[in-house]
Parts: sequence; structure tokens; C-alpha cells
Amino acid sequence: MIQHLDDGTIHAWLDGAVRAGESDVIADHIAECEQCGAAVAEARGLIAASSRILSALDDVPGNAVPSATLPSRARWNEARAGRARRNLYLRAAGVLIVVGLSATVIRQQQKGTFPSRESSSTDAALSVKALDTSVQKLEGPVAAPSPVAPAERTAVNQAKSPPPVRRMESIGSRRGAIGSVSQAASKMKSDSAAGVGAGNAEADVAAAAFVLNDSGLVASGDTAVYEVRSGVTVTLVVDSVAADVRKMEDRVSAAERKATKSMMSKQIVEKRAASAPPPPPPPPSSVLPPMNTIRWFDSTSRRWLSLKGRLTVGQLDSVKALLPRLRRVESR
Amino acid sequence: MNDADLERLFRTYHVPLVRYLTRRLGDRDWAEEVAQETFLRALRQPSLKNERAWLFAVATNLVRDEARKDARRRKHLTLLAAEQREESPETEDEGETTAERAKERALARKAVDALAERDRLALLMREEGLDYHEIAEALGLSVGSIGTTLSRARRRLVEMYESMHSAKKIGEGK
Repeated sequence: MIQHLDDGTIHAWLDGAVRAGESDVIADHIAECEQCGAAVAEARGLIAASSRILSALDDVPGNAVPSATLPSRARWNEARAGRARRNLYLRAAGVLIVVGLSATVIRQQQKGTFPSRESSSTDAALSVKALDTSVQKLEGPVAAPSPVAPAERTAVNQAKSPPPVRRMESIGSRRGAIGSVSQAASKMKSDSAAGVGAGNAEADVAAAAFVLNDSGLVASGDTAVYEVRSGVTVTLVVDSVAADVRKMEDRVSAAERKATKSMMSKQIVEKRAASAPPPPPPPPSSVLPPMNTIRWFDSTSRRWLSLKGRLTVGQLDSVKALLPRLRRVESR
Repeated sequence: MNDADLERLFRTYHVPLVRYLTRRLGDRDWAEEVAQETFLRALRQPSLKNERAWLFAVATNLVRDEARKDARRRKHLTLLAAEQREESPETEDEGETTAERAKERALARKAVDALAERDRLALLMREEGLDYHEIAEALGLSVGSIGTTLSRARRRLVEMYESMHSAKKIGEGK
């Protein structure tokens, strides 16, 4: 005859958590002991009731939680490493552009003459090409290319169609932005090689508008429009000298905060979207993104500059780095 | 861990893990996020000895870490949401059943929140099928104490729920 069973033992017995030999002894006791039999009945009721109460916490009925699509290893890595990689891309892009531009400036100084239109275009194209290659190398082992990626890359590199707008904010779009600039550089090169008179004249205007010298970027006009690819232009505006620096800084900070908030929201949306089926491929026709503006303060000239156009912020940043190389199409 | 292992792990445990976390947190989206992070960490493991216990332990720790950061804010929001659901007037579109379920959910949430943390976690894990050894491993308890923990948790949960339910019915009757 064993003592009366405690609650813990009864629940463990009902949950099948006691060894077989011990379970038989408990079962024999319950069959003989009315008090323990009642305790077991009560425990059964508690187990059933607690299960029922807990099931009320489910937003959906039990076992009906829709199972998400299993993200691939690459997608998980992508999600986790996305932010770090974006920073890496930006750093790599900055370094390569600076190196490319510096090499050009050094070459100009060694020659003692202002470079021809063709040579500067070639430098820009080479610099951008090197950047594009480095980005592809960086991206390669981390994220497996999607089935459409090679086609997109070919389209971008061959400059026959603009990059898909749906991927503007993705890493792929960053490559697309670089490709667009590369396209512009190639276009300049072809214009120059073909001896287009208007192009040469505009090249002179562009060279006069901005001179990259030891003292930095100096603007000679208030507004300049540049064509970054066929039908897409960006406008560079030189604000009045330190008109309201404080106000501008506040605006930039507010924009940064907004961008950060937007990015966090987007990350959450992306996490949720990770379990959804992949979106349909983007329509073949391109739709330009909304007008975006980037502003920066040129510390040497003490001027605020802004660049706006129907490009993503990342694309505008890329264009900003290559402003002196782009073809100016209009001046107001 | 290779892709095949990961896929098997995900297909086997994603549903119970999300349900456990949803019951624990009262927020389905948050539960999904924590579950994703849990599987992400599993991916980095070369192998898992007791995978279910490991997953639930990691998910529990993630919730605990997160909860430390903004416990008050999230609890406040959860309570607000629960109260809003509980007190929201019935619209024509919502049937009586839906409203009743919302009230039961709010009561259940309060009853679960009234449990001690260890009791609550043990009970929620048991509801997802973890055996006593797995619960003990996930929570760092002895196997012998799990029966007592569960019996206490179940009794207290039911008593809390029934007392609140009775009080609510009396309040509605007035």
C-alpha cells in the first residue's frame, strides 16, 4: 500500500511521464483508493480545461496556423546579412569611385592638360565597370542569383532597357543604378567618338560648370540639368550660400529619421513577405520612380547642393559621384 | 546543418513553435519574427541533440531578451489590445460567436499572464507536446519537478479563468 498520490505524480502519470513499472503501481493504487481516484478525475478536468483556455489564445484554431514557405538558406542569409552587405557595397562603391577619380586627376596633373572628352569618359566607364564587377563578386557567394537575374543584368549592361522599377530598393537595383551611370558614360563616349558637335559643346559647358580641383567641387551656376540615360535627367541646384544652414541640417536630419523609420518598416514588411509566394515578375514596361532629392554640403565652396530626379536615392548618389563626367543637356 | 535538415526542422516545428509563441506573447506577428530568428539560429548549429527542446529554449530566451528591452511598453500594448477587443462593441458584421471568442481570449490572456513565468512556460510547452525531459531541458529544471509545476500551473490557470469569468458574468448581469 503506497501513500496517497500527490498532484505532481498524478499529472505526470496522466501525461505518461512515469516509467512503466511505476505507472502500474500508481494505476493499482488509483483503482483501490477513492480519494486518489477523485484527485485523478480532477486532474483530468484541469488538463482539459487548461487546454481549452489556452486554445482561446490562438488567433487561429489549433493546427491551422498556416505554415510559411521555408525560406532558403540564401534568403535567410540574405535577410540577416542584407544590412551589412548594403553598407559594404556603399563603402566599396565609395572607395572605388574615389580611387577612379583620383587616378584620373593624377593623370591629368601628370599630363598637364585638361583631358579630352573621350579619355575622361573612358575613365568613368572603366571605374564604373570595375565597381559593377566588384559588386557582382561580393554578391555572388552570398545570394544565389534568381532565374531572371542574368537577363536583367544583360539588359542593364547592354543599356537597351532601364532596370526593373520594382527592384529599385534592392541590391539588384543598386547594380542597375550603376549600370545606368555606366550607360551614360558609354553614351558620352559614343557621342564623343562620333564627333557629335552638340555633344562636344555641351561637354565644354559641363566642364565649365564643375571643376574638380584641389579645392573641391566648385559650382559656377545655380542650376544644371544632366542626362543620366535616355529620357532621364537629374537637376543639380546650388542653394544660396549658407542661406539657412541650420534649417537645412534640420531638414536633412528629419529626412534621415524618416528614411530610417521607413527602412525599419520595410524590413518588417520584408520579413512578413518572406513567407508569401514570390511576387509576379515586373511588367516589361518601365515606370519611373517618384522624384527624389539628395542634398549635401560642399565644405570647400560652403554651398549646399541638391540633386533631384526620377531616380532612387541610391542612384542619385551614384550620379552625384560622377557628376563631372555626365553630359549637361540644358542650362537655366 | 544542411538544407534538408533545416527544411525538416522547419516543417516539423514551425507550427507548434509559432503557436507556443503566439500564446506566450499575444502577438502573432511578433511570434512569427521570434520563430524566424529561432530557426535562423538553428541554421548556424552544426547539429542539434534534442532539437525540439533546443528550439523552444532558444525561442523562450529570445522572448525573454526582447521582453527585457521593452517589457512595459509591450505589456501595456498587449493589455490595451486585449481590453479593446474585450470592450469593443459588437458591430452588425460581427456575430455573437466572434465577440464571445474575443472575450474568452481576453480572459484567457489575463489568466495566463497571472501565472508565474516558469509555470506559464512549462504549461505552454507541454501543450505543444514537449515531454517532461524536453521541458526540463528547455527551462533548466529537474525532470522530477515538472509534474508539480504543471499541476500547479493548470490548477491556477483554471481557477483564475473561472473566477474572472464568474466576475464578468455577475458584472454583465447587473
